[in-house]
Amino acid sequence: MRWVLACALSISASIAGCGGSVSDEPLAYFDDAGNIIETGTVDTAVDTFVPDTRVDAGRDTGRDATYDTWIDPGCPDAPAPKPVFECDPLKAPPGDCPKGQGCYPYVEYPDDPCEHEIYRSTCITAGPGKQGDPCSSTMCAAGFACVASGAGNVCVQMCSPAKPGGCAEGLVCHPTDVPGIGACL
Amino acid sequence: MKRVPRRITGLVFAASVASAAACGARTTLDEGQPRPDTGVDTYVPPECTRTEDCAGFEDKCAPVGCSGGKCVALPKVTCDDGNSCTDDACEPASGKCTATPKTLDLDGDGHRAPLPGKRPGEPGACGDDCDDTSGKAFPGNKEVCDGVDNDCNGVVDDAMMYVPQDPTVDAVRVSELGEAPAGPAGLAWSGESYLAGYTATISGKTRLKGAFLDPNGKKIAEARITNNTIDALEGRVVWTGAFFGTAWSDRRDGSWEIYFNRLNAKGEKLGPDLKVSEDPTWSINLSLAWTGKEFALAWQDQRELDPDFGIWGARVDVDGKPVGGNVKLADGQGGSPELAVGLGTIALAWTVTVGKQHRVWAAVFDRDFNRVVEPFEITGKSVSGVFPVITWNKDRYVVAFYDPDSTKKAVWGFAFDEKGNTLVALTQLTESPRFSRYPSLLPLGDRALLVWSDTKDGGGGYELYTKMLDPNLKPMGTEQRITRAVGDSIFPVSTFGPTGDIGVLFRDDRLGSLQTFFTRLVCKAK
Repeated sequence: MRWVLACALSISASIAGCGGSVSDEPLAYFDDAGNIIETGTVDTAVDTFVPDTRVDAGRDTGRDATYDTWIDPGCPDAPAPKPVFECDPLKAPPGDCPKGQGCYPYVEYPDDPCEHEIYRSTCITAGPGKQGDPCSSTMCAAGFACVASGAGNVCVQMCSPAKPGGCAEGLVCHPTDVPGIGACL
Repeated sequence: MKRVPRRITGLVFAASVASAAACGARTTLDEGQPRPDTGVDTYVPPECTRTEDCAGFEDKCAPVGCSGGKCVALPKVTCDDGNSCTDDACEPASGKCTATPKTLDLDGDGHRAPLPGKRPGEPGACGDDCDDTSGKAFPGNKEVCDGVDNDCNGVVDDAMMYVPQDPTVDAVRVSELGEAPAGPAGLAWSGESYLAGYTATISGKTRLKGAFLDPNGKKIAEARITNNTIDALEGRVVWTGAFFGTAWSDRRDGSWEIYFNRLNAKGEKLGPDLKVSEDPTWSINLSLAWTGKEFALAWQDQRELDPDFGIWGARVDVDGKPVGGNVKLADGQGGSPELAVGLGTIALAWTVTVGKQHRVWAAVFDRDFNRVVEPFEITGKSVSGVFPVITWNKDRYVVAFYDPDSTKKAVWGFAFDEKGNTLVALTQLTESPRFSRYPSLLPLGDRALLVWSDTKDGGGGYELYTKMLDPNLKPMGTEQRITRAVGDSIFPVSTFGPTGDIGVLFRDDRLGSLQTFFTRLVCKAK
């Protein structure tokens, strides 16, 4: 099991690290005869047409079923890009950051299904949240990350999954969705 | 070719108009009759000269005929074979009646599963198989030590106990060395092999993989459930008796969403991936259960509560098609839901976090996810809880979870019936001077097997332990230590295997990196 860094906290909001502004409004391209060539949606943030890679499955008559089946776009195998870290989240605070700031990892999500996420870190003003503190609306302290844990969005101490044993007694270092960054839970 | 962008909604409207005009509504009643007021005898052709001229003639269940130049409706075909255990229907193409059994025999043992809410074999149950995922379980069969209720008396492996296979070789690695960090995602036995679902990190991406294991845990084949470019988070697998169901969360759509598919015994997908979660906010931490007729899924979802999560669910039929839409299973914030299937209901247990307080709640639903027991809290004033597991054990739901907040870092249990009545109040299941976590439960009918992780040996890490619990969640016999390696052995997922084995998949860092390991307990007479 892995944990995901929560998009809730201000790091993501301020940097727009949690991406995804594709509108729900469908759009299609037609040829002269009126036949659909391509369908998709409009990314309202950049006014760009985003082609569909999905097709509708048989819709159910019940409630609000809108399930999709997924057609693999056949993305080529490629190594994931290495993290673009401005600072090292695993260094003892303040690490590579000015005093009063912390180094926080986050993810930039791609719009294209064949593009990779970009894993980043940046220095921003540290919050007060320590181990187990809720972080839906407040920042975590330096050295702690906000994860969607299954028991709320909580601040947890960051650790290295490659070096087990780096957490307080009773806690275990779990990988997150940022490669190389773990969370003590 | 010119590309002209248009809103799809406009096209749908225009197409509808066009189709109505082109296809022609064909009958006005006076068409084909002379019109006396014109003073001119105009020949109007009859409405029909043969049946095929009449609209809807293809439907032989609601037949029409041509009589006197007019189309007339003939008596509809009524289908009723007098068997209340079949769904009767008429096939429009042939007009013939079909009778489809309401219940399934997926394991092919000649015994059908009962209707939801019915006990196997009771009047009106339409089936007497107590376990339609195993061809070795049916009324009249002989009970043997194999992890199956062979004789359908409600008890698995009557009076047997389970012990670690071999203390000198306590586990085998499932994930490849280059796949770290890896972790367990689900385990199911098909009758021929285990399917061990696990997350593997390859080229910086986390994939959900399936490893087919022989009874000793040796890998015999692999299945790729998600592809190279998709980052997957977790997964589950269940065996239906004929194929596997699997569900996971990945972010192929730019957001973490829940996907489902079915796998045959070779690990081949039986259809395209089905996107189950409907909302573009995050959907993670899923649970998957097989009801005997459908798949039930629950997960935590940010819709309505973003950035917090609530609990949502969905149903998928045996053919992998959605049944109804997403259903909000609980109001308010919640996470880490787990499902269990009872006689006629589905129970849900989940974590509610308020500030730094962690609570475990439960609710009961019918098979359509209509709530039959309102949510109630399991934890109490002095006991917190997170990450519950839940199982159905003969006549009761049993929940286990661990308390991360209180002084006693123990695993706790609770049992209730399908009406939400408490059968066993909060009971401490483990005694440890340090930390007990990550429970896994297996139902045996008259007892339940608990596997969990504990740091009680003082070696600096978690090890796996097991103990048998009676229906009142009191320990039976002595607890046993399963793993003995350095580091942490955590996240056990257990399932019944062959010849009385219990397979256990777990995460282990004994090699210095996070890997997925397999071990087994063997059935033994007392």
